[in-house]
Amino acid sequence: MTLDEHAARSRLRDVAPGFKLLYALPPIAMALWANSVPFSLLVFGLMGASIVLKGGVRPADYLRWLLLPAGFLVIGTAAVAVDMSAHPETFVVSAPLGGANIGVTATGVAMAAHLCFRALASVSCLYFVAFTTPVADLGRSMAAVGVPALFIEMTLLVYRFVFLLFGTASEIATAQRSRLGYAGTAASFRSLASLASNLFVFSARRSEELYVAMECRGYDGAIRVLAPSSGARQPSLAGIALVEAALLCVAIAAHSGRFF
Amino acid sequence: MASPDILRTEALRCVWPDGTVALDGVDLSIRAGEVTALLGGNGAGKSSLLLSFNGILKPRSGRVLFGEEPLDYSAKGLKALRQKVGIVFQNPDAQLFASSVYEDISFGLCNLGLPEPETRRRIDAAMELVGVAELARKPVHPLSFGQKKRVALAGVLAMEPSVLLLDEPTAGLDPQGADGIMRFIRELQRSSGMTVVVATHDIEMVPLFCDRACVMDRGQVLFEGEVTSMFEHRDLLRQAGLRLPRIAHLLEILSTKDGFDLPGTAMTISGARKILKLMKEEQEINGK
Ligand SMILES: Nc1ncnc2c1ncn2[C@@H]1O[C@H](COP(=O)(O)OP(=O)(O)OP(=O)(O)O)[C@@H](O)[C@H]1O
Ligand SMILES: [Mg+2]
Repeated sequence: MTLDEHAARSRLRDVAPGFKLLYALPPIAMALWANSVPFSLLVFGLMGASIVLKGGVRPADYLRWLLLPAGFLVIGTAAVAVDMSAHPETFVVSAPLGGANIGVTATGVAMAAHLCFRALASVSCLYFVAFTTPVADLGRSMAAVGVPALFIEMTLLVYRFVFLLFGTASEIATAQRSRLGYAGTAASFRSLASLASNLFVFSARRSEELYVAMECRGYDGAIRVLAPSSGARQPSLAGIALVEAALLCVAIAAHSGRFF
Repeated sequence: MASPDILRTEALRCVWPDGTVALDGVDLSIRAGEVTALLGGNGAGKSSLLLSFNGILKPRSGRVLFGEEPLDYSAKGLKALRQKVGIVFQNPDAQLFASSVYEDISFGLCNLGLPEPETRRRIDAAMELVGVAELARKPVHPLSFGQKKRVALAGVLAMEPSVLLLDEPTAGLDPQGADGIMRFIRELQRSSGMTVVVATHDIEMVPLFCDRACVMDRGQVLFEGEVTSMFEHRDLLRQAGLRLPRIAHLLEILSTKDGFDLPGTAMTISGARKILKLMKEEQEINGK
């Protein structure tokens, strides 16, 4: 399932997008600023619990999606932890390599851990938005905060076309494969080239067709649509404010070194 | 009896930018308040004709008239035309663009500038009619082909045009869905007097749901008239790459090859039953 499908069936889908952003975005800033592992874990846990318990995403699905950034994180932070120096005594573990030594230092490990947990916390916040808010709803809420209409229309059209192009590309590729288009290197290159050029022609045609179809329904330069069910759920602002305030207190305490 | 013509073409010739002649001297009248079938093989020019009724494909020569007026191809004229003449395209992906079903259906209505409660009422009614009410909040891309087709139809129906152009509305639908859509279009035409033009290959559907028919081949009109009289021109149908409805074919074979003495022909099951009952009665009378 794609993230968007998860979002479409989320139990929090009907909550007005603004509130979800208000809930999930400030903790990112706090986690980045506090730079503390326990605080990052707190945010990570809170968002995970919100996604699974409130949003109704199966824990297994959530974990599977977490693996995606986790892979990047491990590789990225490993690079931070590893260091090189002429003096082997600075390292916790090390191995000689040519004239120097390569290994991990205590400070390197600490830094890597901080980085890793901050990133995880931020990712979990963004996932909260992604798992509960379909792209379309998000686009609409951007209008409320003053993003230009043109930009939003573009975003939503791109969103629709991404799936259309992706679908077409995979159909062409399947058709090519079924006629042995990818058996051997030369054939693969040829098939790929024709796939790309076909896709380009297809996009040009499709955009023209769409324009005509839109004109037939009275398009005059501005896309106006009506969102389903105007009664989005409005959770209590006080509740969100309370959570954010509590998080902020913990963040300040963590930043000023009261814990850890 | 003859209702006035709402759409008319006069020596219409249309050429695609790549030089393909899509319509080659078409003279055709569409009567108001009737369902007209547009028949013809692949590439006959059915879609092109529908596009020219909507002002999308402009004539190279000849003209298209809506009511008594020739089409006005200025931006304002086209806008006015398209409020009255709605088109549902052959390929639903060409028509659906919004990020959810509900929003897509709302698009045309928002452009008409209707007040919101009226818009919502019409969207709900249209979704109910074509049977996509439970898909309202879904994004468009994961829908099945038939579902997309229904959504595309709902988006145009909601605008309540006085002429509805349908390009193969039943292609790709399951048999029940296809019958349902056609029955529903028929009802709409009966209740609100809507004029409907359907391009189709589904010859079985024609005697059931259409009043008039037009047979096309290579950009030209071979036949135009009542559906019942169309089936008397079998050679024309074959020339256009079409065939008779199965029932008519069966009755034809029974009378020409198997020596049945049938009191007439029929296109539909109910027509065939009438004939067979008549035959039975005759036999009973003769047997006595
Ligand atoms: N966008 C286009 N550009 C160039 N030529 C086109 C275009 N669309 C259609 N044609 C050509 O115009 C002719 C008539 O096509 P049209 O689509 O009207 O046929 P059709 O009767 O709708 O066929 P089908 O039953 O396959 O839908 C064909 O020869 C076709 O190749
Ligand atoms: Mg066609």
